[in-house]
Amino acid sequence: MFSQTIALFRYQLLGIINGRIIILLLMICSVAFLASQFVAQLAIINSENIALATMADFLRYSLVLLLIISLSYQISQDYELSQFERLLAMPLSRLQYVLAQFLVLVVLAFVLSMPLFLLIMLLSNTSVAMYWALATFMELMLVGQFTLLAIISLEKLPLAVIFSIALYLLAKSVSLIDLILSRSAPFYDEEGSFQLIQFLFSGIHYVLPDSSYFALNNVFFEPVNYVDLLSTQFISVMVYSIFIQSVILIDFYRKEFN
Amino acid sequence: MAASQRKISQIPAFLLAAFLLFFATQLYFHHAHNKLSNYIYRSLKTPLDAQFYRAVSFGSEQLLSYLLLIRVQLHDNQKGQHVSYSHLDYETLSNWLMTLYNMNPASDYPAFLASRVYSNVQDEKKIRKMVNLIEALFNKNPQQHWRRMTEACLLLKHQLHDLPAALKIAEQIANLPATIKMPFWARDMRLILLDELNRLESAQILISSMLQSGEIKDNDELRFLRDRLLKIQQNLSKNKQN
Repeated sequence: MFSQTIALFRYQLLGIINGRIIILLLMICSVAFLASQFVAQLAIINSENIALATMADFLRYSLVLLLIISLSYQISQDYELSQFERLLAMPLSRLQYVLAQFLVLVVLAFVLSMPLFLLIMLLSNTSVAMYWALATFMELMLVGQFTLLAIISLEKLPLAVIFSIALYLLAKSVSLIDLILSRSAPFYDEEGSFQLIQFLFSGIHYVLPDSSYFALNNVFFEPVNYVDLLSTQFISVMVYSIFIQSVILIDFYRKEFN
Repeated sequence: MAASQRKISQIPAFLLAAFLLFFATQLYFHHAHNKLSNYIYRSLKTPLDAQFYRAVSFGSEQLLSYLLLIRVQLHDNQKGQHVSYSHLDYETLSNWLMTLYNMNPASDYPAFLASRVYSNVQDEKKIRKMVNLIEALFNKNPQQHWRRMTEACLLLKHQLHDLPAALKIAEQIANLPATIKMPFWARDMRLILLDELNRLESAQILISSMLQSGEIKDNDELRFLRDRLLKIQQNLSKNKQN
């Protein structure tokens, strides 16, 4: 079973890691570096930290986008070219397919995080670079699993990309939605519809990642305990990954392929 | 398979005419709009609540606070033209600096802009606004802002010629508890103020003391102060020769 999964993983990996993605990655890194140097020219004080934080955030969001598009494209091709029908005709379980895709995600997230580590290490120090690369790796793993869920459920590339980005932004906007609800409460507290929205959102809160699941950009401005931050993020991402993987498996096992 | 293209002559004439008309309209509209908006000065908009900016920063509140500060700092450059600080609304500017400080209390940037950048204006009310802002920041965190308060003393004495107000501020610094760490010269600001020194001499003493104290860690600020000190020293030697 294990060798079959590895064989499937290698086959899938060849389709996703190619020259095009490496060139794109190099271009993103160059743009991020240039944009950060431009910001550094504008800042009068603290320019090094501002430039570094700008570059780190620019790279984080670009890599998330790149990961979502690459993964969605890869699996949407499996649907379009009827690969699933062929794969499932072989002695392969659906669990093996999901596992192979998870391994592809691990390698892709690692490949995307590497230039991030090197670039930040060149411009700053190893500990900050190590923190940011590991934290971004975990963030990419989280978003990658949203994407796996989206593309396996929705099957179409545009739908999966929009859904993944929407989910990512919703998770990032938790504090903004909280603020809107708390500011609106004095005006609409009596209204049933408002209470329903509050109830729904507090429910959604439980199944959405919060800020502890993502890389924290403030590390570029203040001394922090990297081990504490990384261990908290690791545990949160681990627990959430198990939950998401179970949803993916249930959804995938319910699918009918003719 | 890609579809082959028909000749342009096969397109109905009214479609081509409509295209040319809309193209010309677009060019004219863009040109006219550009001309109109060339000379309009956009005033600084009132800031929203610090909590709002923190919420929309997606967890990068310190970075967003710096980027917003840079945006505020660049407000005096519009369409490639430098707008004099006297055109800026200092009430709104002061609100922006305070909001961005509340968003990122660890940052010294808002106080730096108030004392070193926006105080370079020939308007008493505007300078007082900046001094009030520095005082408000100092009251929030004396350890972080005592340096800006010493600069505010010199602003009051030399730019506004208001020695009593400068002495009041110097007294606030002197009365800080011993737990607030700062060099002796800062506690003795009153002596510098009461001394018969001119603006350049006072500034020279202040900047030299700051540089020697080792309190300034930021390389950009060190460079900025060294440049300023060099200019002051050049001006002083020129004055002496004259």
